[in-house]
Amino acid sequence: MRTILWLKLRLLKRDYMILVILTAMALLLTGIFGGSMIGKYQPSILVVSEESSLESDRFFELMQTSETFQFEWADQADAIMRVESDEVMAALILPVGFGMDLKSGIAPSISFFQSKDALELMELKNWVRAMVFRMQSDQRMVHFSVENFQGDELGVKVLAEADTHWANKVPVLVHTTTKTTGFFDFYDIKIHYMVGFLLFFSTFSIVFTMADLLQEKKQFTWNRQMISPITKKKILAGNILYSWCLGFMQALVLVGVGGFLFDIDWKAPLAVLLVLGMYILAIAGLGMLITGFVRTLEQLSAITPVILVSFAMLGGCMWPLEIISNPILLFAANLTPHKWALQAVERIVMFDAPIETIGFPILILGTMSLVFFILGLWRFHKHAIS
Amino acid sequence: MNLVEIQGVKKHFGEIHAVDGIDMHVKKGEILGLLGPNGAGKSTTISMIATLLEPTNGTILFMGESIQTNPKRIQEVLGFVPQEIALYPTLTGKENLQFWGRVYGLRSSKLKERISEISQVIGLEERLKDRVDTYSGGMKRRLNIGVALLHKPAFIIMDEPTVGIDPQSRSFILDTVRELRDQGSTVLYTTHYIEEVESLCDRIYIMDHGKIIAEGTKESLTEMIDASEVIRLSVEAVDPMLITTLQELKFVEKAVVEANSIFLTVKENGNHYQSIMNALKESGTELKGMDIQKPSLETVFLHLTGRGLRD
Ligand SMILES: Nc1ncnc2c1ncn2[C@@H]1O[C@H](COP(=O)(O)OP(=O)(O)O)[C@@H](O)[C@H]1O
Ligand SMILES: [Mg+2]
Repeated sequence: MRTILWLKLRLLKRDYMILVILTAMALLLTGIFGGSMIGKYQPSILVVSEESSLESDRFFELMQTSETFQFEWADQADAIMRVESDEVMAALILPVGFGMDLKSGIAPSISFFQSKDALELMELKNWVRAMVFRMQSDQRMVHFSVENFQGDELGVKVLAEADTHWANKVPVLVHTTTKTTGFFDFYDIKIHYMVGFLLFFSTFSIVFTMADLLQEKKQFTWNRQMISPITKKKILAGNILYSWCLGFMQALVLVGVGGFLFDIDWKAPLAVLLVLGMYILAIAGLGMLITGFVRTLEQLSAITPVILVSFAMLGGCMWPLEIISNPILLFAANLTPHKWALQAVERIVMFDAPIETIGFPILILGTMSLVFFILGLWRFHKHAIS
Repeated sequence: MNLVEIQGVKKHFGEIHAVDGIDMHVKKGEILGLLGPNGAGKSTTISMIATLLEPTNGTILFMGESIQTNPKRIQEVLGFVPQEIALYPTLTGKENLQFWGRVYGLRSSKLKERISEISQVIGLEERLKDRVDTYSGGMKRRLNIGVALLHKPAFIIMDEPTVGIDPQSRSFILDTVRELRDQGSTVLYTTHYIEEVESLCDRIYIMDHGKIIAEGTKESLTEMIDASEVIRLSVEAVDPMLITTLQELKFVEKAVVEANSIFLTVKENGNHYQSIMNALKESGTELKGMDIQKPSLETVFLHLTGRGLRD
């Protein structure tokens, strides 16, 4: 195994630049993709009011308590233009009589102006509905109090009272959001995307270092190694070890530089590296297995992105698994190393989970590595076909 | 005891019977030639001896022990020169020698010593620090041989080591093989060049279509043809009727066609000229030339297979 490492380091000396470039790319792409994903999470919504009333101001105030959206006043022409150019996701238009309708207990009609359908618009509509409902309830209460006790001051007082009552409560809970609110309280979507994309982009260089084995087959040095007294097991283990070392160095850079660049507090960096170490081993095993199934570098280059992207998607690197409900997809996620690594790192970084809770994901990653290695041993024939 | 004993070995790749039941043995200290045209099954045979391929059938013994149950035994003492250049092109000649030496357990001063000896043998001392991809074809071939000799192998297998090489490098390689034998190594040499086995090998197997079709020393093989000469007729075009007529002549052992030549193996000395000319005249074939050859391995091969060795 030492001999194989000796060889690999000599070969690395000849083209280490590729590795440097791949690492830099991983950082860059994580920045770009992770960043753009986060940006999407506070879409801007414009509010246009055709009247100027106490009620419309209050509506705007209430809307602004949303954590998902940002609201901004605009006039009608401006709103239409900015929605059409996709600068903002949607605009809400409060018609003339909005305040009167509310006061007289009639459901006000609010128009939505949007250029395309998006999942977030559902949430927006729910939010609007909830806030309108809240205003209606408040209004009813005010009416009731004022009619019974007289006096304008009292009305204002009751309204203030009602506000304290409502504070920090969403008057109407939409079923789908209730399911996840608790989770999203802790959940830091930024860390999720950063870690997810780091896990995803770092797989490429690991798989491609395993692909050196194809080069060995092509130049027949593989055959020559196979008839030497070194066993196949040791040769493949040497190759994995080498991939692992490079992958781990890359992980050190990503954790160090990535943490600094993207402002992530790793909480327990050693535990994070432990998880990453096991993850890299599993990916190296996966790389070896893929390499065992293809015949040429061209085939490998064609199939690797497909496999790595699907694994990353299934494993939750692209979007959190918590938003997925399809049981088949959730089951498939368990078969990817990505899911377990992501889960363990998130537990450490977001939830301050005790280190013991990452034991299980690490065990799974270890088992995966072993299975990949055994399958790879079986796939790698001694005799490379010329 | 024979160094290597091959018994009833077959290797099938699906429908292709690359090696189709062969018996062979290698004696200690000899240069054994394995001669056959391209696709005969030579590389497949030696790949099995070298533990690279598993036989579909049969057994291979190395020093009396099956190489399948104990592959390490042969692996440690085998120097294998593959048909293809199997080197790291981006590494220097020296780094290649270092790596393959390490693979066979050589380290530090011992490794250094062997590298300087071997680079002398293969005549690459001057170029050791250069990358292999800057070498000429002949230099690569020589380095390909050199890396197989680092650990002083007792048994050396060479698979067509002189293909596509300049004449100078070629005679250099042949001399090296003789030297290795003289130092006590056993060599199994594979080739489709008859001159090479003729000048080099102590014993020869001739292989065709996955089978051993003849075995012996050069002398015993040529004696096999029960005739003293081969007459070659050069003609414009070969008429199949003519061949039949010639074959029916009682002194003709065998008539073989290769391109525009007809090779007649004739049984005894004497003047057969008239009968041959009559047969030619009968079929209206114009004779362009004729010569008489003493039997050689080439004629042995023609005799056995009905084909020439060169395609
Ligand atoms: N890995 C393989 N798969 C399929 N056919 C093969 C393989 N290796 C060799 N062959 C076939 O077996 C036959 C013998 O090949 P080989 O042993 O290389 O012949 P030689 O070395 O005498 O030229 C050829 O027909 C070749 O195409
Ligand atoms: Mg061959």
